[in-house]
Amino acid sequence: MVQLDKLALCAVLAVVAAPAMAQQADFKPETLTVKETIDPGPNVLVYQQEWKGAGSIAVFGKDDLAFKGLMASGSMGQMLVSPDGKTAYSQSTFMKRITYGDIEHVVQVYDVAKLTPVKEVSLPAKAAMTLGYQPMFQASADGKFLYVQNGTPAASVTVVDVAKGSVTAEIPTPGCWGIYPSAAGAYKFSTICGTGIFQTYAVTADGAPAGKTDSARIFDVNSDPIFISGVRVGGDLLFASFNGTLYRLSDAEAAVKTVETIKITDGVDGKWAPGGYAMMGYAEKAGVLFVAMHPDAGNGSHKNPAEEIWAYDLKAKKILSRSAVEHVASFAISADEAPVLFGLTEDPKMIRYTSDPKAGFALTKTGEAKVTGFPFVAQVTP
Amino acid sequence: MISLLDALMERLDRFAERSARTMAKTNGRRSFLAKTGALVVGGGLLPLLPFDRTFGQAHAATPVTDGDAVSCEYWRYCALDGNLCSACGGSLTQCPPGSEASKVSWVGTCRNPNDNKDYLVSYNDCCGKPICDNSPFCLKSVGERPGYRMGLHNDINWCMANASKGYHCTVALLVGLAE
Repeated sequence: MVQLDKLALCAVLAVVAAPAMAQQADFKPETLTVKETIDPGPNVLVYQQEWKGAGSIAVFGKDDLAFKGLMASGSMGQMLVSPDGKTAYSQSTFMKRITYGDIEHVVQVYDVAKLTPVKEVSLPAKAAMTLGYQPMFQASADGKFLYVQNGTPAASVTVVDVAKGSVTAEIPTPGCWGIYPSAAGAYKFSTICGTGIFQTYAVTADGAPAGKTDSARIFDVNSDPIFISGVRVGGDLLFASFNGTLYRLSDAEAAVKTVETIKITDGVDGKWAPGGYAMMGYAEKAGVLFVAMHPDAGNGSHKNPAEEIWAYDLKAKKILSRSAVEHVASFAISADEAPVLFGLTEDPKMIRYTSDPKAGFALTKTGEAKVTGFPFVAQVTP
Repeated sequence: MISLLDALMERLDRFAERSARTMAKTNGRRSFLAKTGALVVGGGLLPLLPFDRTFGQAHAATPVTDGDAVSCEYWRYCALDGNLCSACGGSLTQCPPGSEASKVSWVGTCRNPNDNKDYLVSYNDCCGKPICDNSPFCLKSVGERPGYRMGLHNDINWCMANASKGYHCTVALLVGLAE
């Protein structure tokens, strides 16, 4: 009787299994692979700084904010991107036990297309562990040297030879902050000092220090302090003060010199002033400056996110447009004749704005993407 | 060779620190800060880092009777950028157990609404643990300045001079009366 039951069960299973086995023959299991490169096209890269663990460089498509992936760095880091957008660099902190223990400061060099680090350079463990600011991590105009801002809190600059993958010098820059490499000619960088002057440090072709030159006093540190986030305008450097004064400076010679100062808020009601982190962008082709502005400015408001972004004509010295924005703390712009602006908010998120040259470069929101951490540095690539 | 380089860098750092100190003593409100620092350091509280405000020892918690120390709006927090140690197992003047007090700090000048006097507030970070996101994150920047005036700068990790560099939270100690 038991034998008969077993035979019956086998018969039932055979009837049920036969179609399944036929299906099995048609089924092709998927293969796990790793996508080799990101989708082509212009991008915007955002440094998503973290103070708890790994920061990252996020890559989004410039036109549609399609998220293309991440490159990994350490904590409290900075980002730099080559002008062609093909190579990215980070400088960050790696702690043995993440929040304590021995630290290593590292420059990582990435192949953006592959989202992969291709080189590392270990630095003296002195790099400034600060919020994301472009002047903390810069490159010489030809890309040969990287300059890293140190803060122990004594200030100095580490010079890295990228091709050799080694540190060539640590240059003391006492009382000064921010790195502004020369745009052309011999290797040198300028820095802002707490006495209101700039100092310019020459660097040899081997990456060694070659002396410094002091400027005359450029700004009053007490009455008109400047933000460290400067921009290049036609070869000059341009900085904004907490009060809304633009300082256009030339670093073409040995010492930094004032070209002109412009007050952009004259005649405007509401106590508007620049504010935030990367609060300026100059669109060279369009010849227009964008500045993040907040109203009711006063002592302590200089990091307030923007409620408006002003488009400003530096030649005519007039405001071309004022666009309401969503609390933008930092932004980056594209080099187009109709620049595209990518605003980073403290929420945090990234907002894409297009500009209309026929309407004074007024901004229109055209997209939004999620970002993480403290995203204060971004760069648009070709 | 490496030790020689290290020795040289150490000397350069000391030079940088001396320069920063000289600048501070000749520069506006920092002049008063420098005098205050000299007075405090003169009490035998070494080492001589330019922004050394550890004051050499642990203190008992100061009772808070003049406001809400776990609110970002508390008057002492006028230049504080960080998470409140007072709501993270520490107090207004104490780092939480198991963390390290920062060796260096930045200073704000805050008005006490109870007596209308301006006080110098040392914002020390507490170090060696993850960011204390269990406590409120505050960002106030009255009198704050970029890193070219380092002692007034709040965007940087003030655990930078400690062995443990992980930022945990921030305290707010009164260290002087502003003129």
